[in-house]
Amino acid sequence: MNQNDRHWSWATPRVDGIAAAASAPPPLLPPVLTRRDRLKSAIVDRLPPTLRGRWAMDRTTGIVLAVSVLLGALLIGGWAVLRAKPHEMSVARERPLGAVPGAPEAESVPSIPVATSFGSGSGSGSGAAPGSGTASGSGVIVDVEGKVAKPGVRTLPAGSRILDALNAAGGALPGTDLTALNQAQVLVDGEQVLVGVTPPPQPSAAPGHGKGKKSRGGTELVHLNLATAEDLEQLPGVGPALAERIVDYRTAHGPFHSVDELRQVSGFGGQRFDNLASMVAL
Amino acid sequence: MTRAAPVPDLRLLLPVLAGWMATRLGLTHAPTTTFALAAGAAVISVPILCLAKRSSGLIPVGAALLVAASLASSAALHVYALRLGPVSELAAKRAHVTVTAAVTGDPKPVKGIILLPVRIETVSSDGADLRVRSQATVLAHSDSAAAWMALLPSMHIQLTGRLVPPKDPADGDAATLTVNQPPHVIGGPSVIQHLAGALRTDLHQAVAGLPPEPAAVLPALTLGDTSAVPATTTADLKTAGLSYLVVVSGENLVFLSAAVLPLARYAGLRSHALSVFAAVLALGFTALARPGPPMVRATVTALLASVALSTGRRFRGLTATAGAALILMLIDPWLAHQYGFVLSVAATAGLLISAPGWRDRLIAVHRVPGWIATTAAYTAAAEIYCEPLLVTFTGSVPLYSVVSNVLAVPAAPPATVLGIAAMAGSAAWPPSGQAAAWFAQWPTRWICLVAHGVARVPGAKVPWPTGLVGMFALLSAYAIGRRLTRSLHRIHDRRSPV
Repeated sequence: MNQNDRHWSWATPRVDGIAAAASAPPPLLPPVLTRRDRLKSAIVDRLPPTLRGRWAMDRTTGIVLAVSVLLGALLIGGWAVLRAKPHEMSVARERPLGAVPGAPEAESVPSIPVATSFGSGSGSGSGAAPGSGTASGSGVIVDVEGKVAKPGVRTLPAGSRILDALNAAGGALPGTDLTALNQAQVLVDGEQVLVGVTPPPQPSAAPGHGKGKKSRGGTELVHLNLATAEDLEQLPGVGPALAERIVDYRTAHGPFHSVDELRQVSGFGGQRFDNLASMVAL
Repeated sequence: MTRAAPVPDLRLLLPVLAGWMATRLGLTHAPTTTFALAAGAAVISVPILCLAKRSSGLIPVGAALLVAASLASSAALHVYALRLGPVSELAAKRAHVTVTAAVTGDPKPVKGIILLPVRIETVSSDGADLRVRSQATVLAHSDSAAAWMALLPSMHIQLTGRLVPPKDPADGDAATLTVNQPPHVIGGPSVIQHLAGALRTDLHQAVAGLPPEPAAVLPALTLGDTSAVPATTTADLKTAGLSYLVVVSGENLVFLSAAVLPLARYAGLRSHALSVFAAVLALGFTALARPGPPMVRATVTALLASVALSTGRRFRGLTATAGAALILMLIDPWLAHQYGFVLSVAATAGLLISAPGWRDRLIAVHRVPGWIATTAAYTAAAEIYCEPLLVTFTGSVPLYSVVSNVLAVPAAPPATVLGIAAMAGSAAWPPSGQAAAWFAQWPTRWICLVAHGVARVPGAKVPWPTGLVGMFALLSAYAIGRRLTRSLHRIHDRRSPV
């Protein structure tokens, strides 16, 4: 203990200064500098010869080194952050049919094979939804695709009809069958208007989702490909959130091919699926 | 003594050490905490750098502080980026997802499961398809092991499984993906990886005619391809302190360069062309050997060295190693948390700092023949610098590793170079590859023989506590050992003054 104190006194000379002052002040004070030098040379002597080298840096070197490392760190770190930002793929088409409460488009989502229009409210999927800007006050933004002269995103005055969107896109191409397209329908912001094409997997999901309920009361089995969110909520342990996820999954991936596929829907992986498996059908 | 040594340049050492500690801190703490600490360090360092006297001893401290603050912020930004994506959100929800991913490393079978590092590129869950960029580890059940083991880096695969939070967040993974079905390959490997895979297969064909043990160990010595090495051999190599030979690292590159560069010089390559050739060699070998952290560090060191050589600056080992470590930690902070990287830096530091002095003393004072002194001093230095880190997770000290290294190491360069020759030969004309492999088996057999022999000697593996306790126990043992050797030296020097 005593030895230790003496050994480390170069570093903490004042810790027990009051006690030590009386006993040994004269020999301790003068050699403070040489003590330090002795310590320094003791350290240097113990170093392997390869470490007895140039540690000191002049100011310019120090600043250049530190600042370039700082710049490098910020650039690379910032790049890492930018690169990590998720991007939504093919914005309009992959977006789930989010159930927007009170949105008028829900009434008019018939599964018409020739042409149909999808309402697409703010996506309920995770992640940022850069494409789904809310109507910017005066107008609606719609995506007109399919057999039109100039497909693309158009901004139209609020209250415009599908007919206006068609005209804005240069009109339907000659020979396109428009009978199934309700041209009088009022456009909703963020909507996609598909003209004369069969949208790939989505329509089969539409009937289940749209308010056009297929009556399907009496049976105990809930049909995954037909059920609405409300129907799905009848299942034990399935609340609005989980029901919504099933609908979203169906919207994005098309109809379920097997009951087992329900496992893919997040929240239905393990025990819950086992409990439900006997109560659902395709 | 023998060399009128120029003063070694150690200026980068302090900043790199500080930067390493800061990076580790940044990886294990919340980004906001790290940023606060880094800002504090930066605020302290600026007046030091600006106001201290021109060549005061405080300047290196200030520079080291600012470098540490920079690396900590870089690590914090990387951690933030990792948690930014939807992948970690989905992992927190333990979501079932379908992803497409690029394979970023070799599949590794571990106890009935297969681990595969991938970079997730798209993720589909909840009906949203997102383009992301998140590193993850796939954890697959080895029912379909063949399909998994056939994967090459840079292949694209589609997987369906459950995302869960990573086991150790400081590993740089956003998530672990547990998968039950075999992978669905949707994109082939890049040209380089395809070539590398083909060359690996060539090597396996070349060694096919050899007895099983050399046939398994030779690809490991050459490329670090340990897929066929039996568990007993691995254990004996570890006990004998030789396991680093079968992990691809800088020394494979050194052996290869030592064999090939004189040939290139003989063929007429000079100065710039030779530097470029050395760089291409380093990069090519790295692609072939599936870079682990030691390999990447060695490659960057080699690249720095070749740049330094071609610009006419004197190449200094410590400066190059420290610079490489600094650059690598900037680019990939997660390296600072990997044993492979830290061990390789520690071993290199040992080789550069302690080994030359020990060798000179062995030769001058103890009159040990040069090659034995060199091997002993270098392996002992690498071993002694690495062991305090190694012991934290191995829980044993390989007592005779210096002996086994002196015996085995001379066989490593011929094994590596002949192995590479066998691979190249097999690609060009299979019989020549088989011939080279036949020659390569003898040094390989010798290494195995040494490993088995040393492992049988009692006390080859001294049990030791793991973790920090083990580390400090070993460091104390070092201090005692150093005291002893110093007094021994003193006695020796008095008896036979040199």
